Amino acid sequence: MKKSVLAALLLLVTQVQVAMAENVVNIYSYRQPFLINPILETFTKQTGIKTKVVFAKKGLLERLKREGKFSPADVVLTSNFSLLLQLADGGLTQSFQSDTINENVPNAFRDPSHQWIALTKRVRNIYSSKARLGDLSNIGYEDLASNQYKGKICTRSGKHPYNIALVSSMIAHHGEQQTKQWLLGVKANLARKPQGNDRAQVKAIKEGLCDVSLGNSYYFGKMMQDAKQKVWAEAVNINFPNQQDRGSHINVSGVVMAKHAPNKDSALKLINYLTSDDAQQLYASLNMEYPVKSGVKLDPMVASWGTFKEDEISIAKIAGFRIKALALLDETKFDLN
Amino acid sequence: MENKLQLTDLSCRYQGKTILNGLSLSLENNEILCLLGPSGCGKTTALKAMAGLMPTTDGQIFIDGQQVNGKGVFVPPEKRNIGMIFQDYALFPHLSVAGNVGFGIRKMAKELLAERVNELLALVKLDGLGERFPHQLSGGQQQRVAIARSLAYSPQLLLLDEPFSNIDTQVRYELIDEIRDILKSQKMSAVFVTHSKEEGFAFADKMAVMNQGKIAQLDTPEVLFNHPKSPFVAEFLGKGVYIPAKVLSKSEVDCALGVIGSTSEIKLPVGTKGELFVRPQYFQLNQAGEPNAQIKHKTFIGSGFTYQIAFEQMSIDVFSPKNLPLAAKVELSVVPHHLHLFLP
Amino acid sequence: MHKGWLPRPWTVLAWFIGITLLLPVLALFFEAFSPQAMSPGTEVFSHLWDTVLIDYISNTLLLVFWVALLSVVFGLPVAWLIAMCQFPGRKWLQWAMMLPLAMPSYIIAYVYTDLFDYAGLIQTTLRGWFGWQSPADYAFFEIRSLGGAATMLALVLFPYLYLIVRTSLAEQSYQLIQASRVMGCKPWESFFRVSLPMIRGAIVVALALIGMETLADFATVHYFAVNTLTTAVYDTWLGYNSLTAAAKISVMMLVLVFLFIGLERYSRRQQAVYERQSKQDSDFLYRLTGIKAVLATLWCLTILFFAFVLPLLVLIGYAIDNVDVAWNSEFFRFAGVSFSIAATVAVITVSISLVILSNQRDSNTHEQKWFNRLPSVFASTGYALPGTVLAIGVLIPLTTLDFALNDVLDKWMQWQPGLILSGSVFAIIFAYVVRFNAVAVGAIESSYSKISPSIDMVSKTLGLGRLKLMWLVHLPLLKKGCLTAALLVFIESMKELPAALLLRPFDFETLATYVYQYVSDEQLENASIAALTIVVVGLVPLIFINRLSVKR
Repeated sequence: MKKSVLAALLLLVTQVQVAMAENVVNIYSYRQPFLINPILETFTKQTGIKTKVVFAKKGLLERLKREGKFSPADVVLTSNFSLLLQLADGGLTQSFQSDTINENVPNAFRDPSHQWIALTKRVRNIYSSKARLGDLSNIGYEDLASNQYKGKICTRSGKHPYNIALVSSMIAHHGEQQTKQWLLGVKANLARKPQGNDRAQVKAIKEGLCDVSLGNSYYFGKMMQDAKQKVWAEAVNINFPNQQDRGSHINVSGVVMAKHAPNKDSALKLINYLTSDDAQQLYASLNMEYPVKSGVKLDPMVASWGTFKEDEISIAKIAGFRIKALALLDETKFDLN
Repeated sequence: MENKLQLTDLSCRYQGKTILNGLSLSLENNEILCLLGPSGCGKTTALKAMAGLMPTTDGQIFIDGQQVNGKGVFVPPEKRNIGMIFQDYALFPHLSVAGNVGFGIRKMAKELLAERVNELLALVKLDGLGERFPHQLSGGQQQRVAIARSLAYSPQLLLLDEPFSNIDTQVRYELIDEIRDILKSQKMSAVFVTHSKEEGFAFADKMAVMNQGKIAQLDTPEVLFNHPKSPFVAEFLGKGVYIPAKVLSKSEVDCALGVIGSTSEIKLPVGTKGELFVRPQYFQLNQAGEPNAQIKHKTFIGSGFTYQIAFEQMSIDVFSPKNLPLAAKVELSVVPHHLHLFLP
Repeated sequence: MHKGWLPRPWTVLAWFIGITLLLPVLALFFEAFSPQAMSPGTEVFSHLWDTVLIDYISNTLLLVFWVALLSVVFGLPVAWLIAMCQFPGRKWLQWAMMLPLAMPSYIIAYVYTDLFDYAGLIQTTLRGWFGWQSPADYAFFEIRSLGGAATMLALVLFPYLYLIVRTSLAEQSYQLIQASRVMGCKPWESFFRVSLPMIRGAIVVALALIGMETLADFATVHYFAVNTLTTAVYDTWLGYNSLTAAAKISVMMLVLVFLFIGLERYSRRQQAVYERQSKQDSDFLYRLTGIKAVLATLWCLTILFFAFVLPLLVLIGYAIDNVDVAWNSEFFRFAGVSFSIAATVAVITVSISLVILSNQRDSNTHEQKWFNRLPSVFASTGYALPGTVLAIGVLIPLTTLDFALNDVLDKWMQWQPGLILSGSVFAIIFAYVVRFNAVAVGAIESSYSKISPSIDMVSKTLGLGRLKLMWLVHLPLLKKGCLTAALLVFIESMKELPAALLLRPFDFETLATYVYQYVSDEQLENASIAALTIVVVGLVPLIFINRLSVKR
């Protein structure tokens, strides 16, 4: 009995040791495996560096904080910019830079103090029913609060990071008071209590439950690739909001290097790779996202949506309103009946 | 119909086994009947059938002239207006003594109910214990609660299933007397199931000895004891020994122990051969006489001794108040009593 | 008898276990109320209080209420029928009614949403038949609602009530019911006047467990967009970044938890009084025939159908339709990992529960009883912690310990092994033990209470020490209780998600973590085979233990 316990302990220790060996990079990922695994596989093929991943949607930041100097994590992949800033603000990151990165990632998508970089961009689009609403290409986020959409809007929870970021950007542009009114307006227009994910809203439009929904750009492409979901996507138009004024709200996915990264060199190699043409191309084709690197070919479908105007307000500025945005969502009881 | 209870040809089969096999009996008003028999004879089943707790396969049951079991007839237990006392009393553990006693009383105003409960508790000598819970009472007290509970709603018939088996022997017969008095004072008719003949003798007006799902004999305790109709009844009601004998006259038989006189008329032709059934207390041991037997074993039982006597090839149990030495040679004889011969 | 003030080693061990299992909760509170964490937290809390918290609280209470009520509606008649009556199918329904336990609530929630929401099969078909065009044309219940979530949770949690109440009913003497019948009660009156008051304690015990499971659930309420206190904990912690406010909300939940644990303990002790009667009846109280028998069978089958068969069939349907994407050659490995972790957790929880309860049993004075009862309360607290909260609660003490360990080893042998505890499978197993120990304590305690104290006395006079008493006397008598405990913990561990998700080492995958990736993305179809495997692997011990208990 005692022997086996000892043996088990030793095994655990050696496992932990392996995690720290060279030629490996350890990743904490908020992004889902089926998306990043193909990219990581190519990376391993090209460099011989192995990758190890822990994926979780919640709490990785806390885990990193707790693990402190012994944390095995080298890089953290996030799906939105709030997390990038929270990691950096929490002192869980270290600065990193390389010529490759500087060359590949435009200035606006790099932290001035080199704590994080963005890897891909995604638009918060407004989807609308092809059959019932027709062309809505002039729509803006502000319009969602107007009377004409009464009982016609579907959305996921207001507290999902994508929506929080959108609300934050509304505060950045219009101030707190006006944003609150806007939220109340949108809430009054909802066809149903916020629920499900972005795809579920498109499905609801297809079924006739509502006419308008909020959703990230890549979901449209992903749905078109899925045999079952294709019909949903075909029922909607994808609209780029606020083309007449400031442009559409952009969110980013990104990467940081963990403060106590045990494999710094490999980690930097991975980050370099993630900004490279190859990886950016994969992001574009696998997940229909907009690469940050200019000149990377978009997926043909994404390209077919044409060019659009991006809201160029700085990420840091939007992120600063995150807590305010949450507070407004609570005040308006956006997610509650 | 005069009878309080009437069972005719009652049969009960269950999972291929016959438990009751043409059972018939009747009970008069204000009479206590004891169903006596070895375990597995069907006496508890019979009781449960009377209560409606056990389905029957054949035959009829009448209570107060009303048919409750029979072809196409089944009155559920709650409509039979009977009281029942279970072997482990089946007191409701979640209710107080008063709650238990009042359980079966329906549609009565609160004050009246309390009054009635107190009355009953007084009857069974449990005054002031109404607030207690069953697990705080002794076995005898629980029994009294069970009695009070089943009398509370004035049932027309009381059924008791081995009610005294969990009571200490010291207080058992006191309790039996007491409860018998209560039942008599309340003019209750009752059927009572037991495997102990002593309890039956003490409690019942009439006894029915049951064997293999049937009544072997039904009569008063004295008749059963003294004039058993079959060896089964005879043996079940007390030990005894069979001695081959021949009828000499209406008042005498002859056997290995000599000529024995009978205190009642022998209704068998002279010369009939049979087995004389003699209980231990009808033997006599005499040291003075001509010894024909020897004491093999003796046990002191308070009122006297039981001896095991070797007589010819037989080993005979004998009761005697005398204190005789072990291994003593004695003269064994039988005192005149109601002689009973079983024919081969 | 122990000498002087020195506690017995057994007591020390019980307290050690109790406190160890309480550590995650303690750690969260120390962390939350440390001075540096305090300042922003109060603000967030009062903001929440002014806005949504009342709604969250009322949603939580309503959810617990409805889950409890529905569990009674589903479970009580089944328990009564199976304990008291003979009817067709009773023999296999007796164990089949436990099957829903193997069905994770997030899967059943997904399946039913897929069927019943506006775009689901049922409503689409109805629209097709009647030519309705929009939601305004007809009324249909909203599955993604508080009522829907409560129904889903009750469908998978009612077997707890069924199991506990059935056992309790089976231990009551039929004579009590017969006595009431003779005294003029119709069958339903006997149920309400005799059976029900006597199983009330058992019902409360079961509802306490169900209540705690409901509090801990995140996946289902999240999927159904029902905002409860659990949502609030996540919001404040991971959204507002305020551990203090999260901890304050957790305190509210813990108040409920302690209430449940208290109720559970109290009821168990009350219940012990009622279950003392020995039971000789081998027969059934009622043999149902005709329409009654049909209704009885039908009732059980209907519940089984909705709680288990239908979701299972839908899963199988998904699996067949999506076999190309849903099949993954690594399932066997994932299943192996799930199985071995669940088995390890089951063995550990049963062992430590035995230690705690054996110590609790060996108390003589009133003070001692109180003192020895505390470890089992401590060791049950983790049950109601939502997985992610628990995971972080587990990380705090484990990383602290890891740091200390590294310091010591560094001093002694200049070796820093890193995160031996928090970075390995140990963390997951610890988290599961904390989470599910309450289940083991509950099942074994009820078994323990049926062993007469005189057995202990006899054993002591025969010269058996504590350990031998345990090994030679208690363990054989507790076998059934231990097996039930192990089974329940095993099944729960097979299904548990969020803790594993966050605590897992690199490249560590269980069936549940694999399935969850897809459930969270609303694409269960792609993980349908894995989901089926979870259910099937959970069934194996269920059938095994059922066989064992039938043999006895």
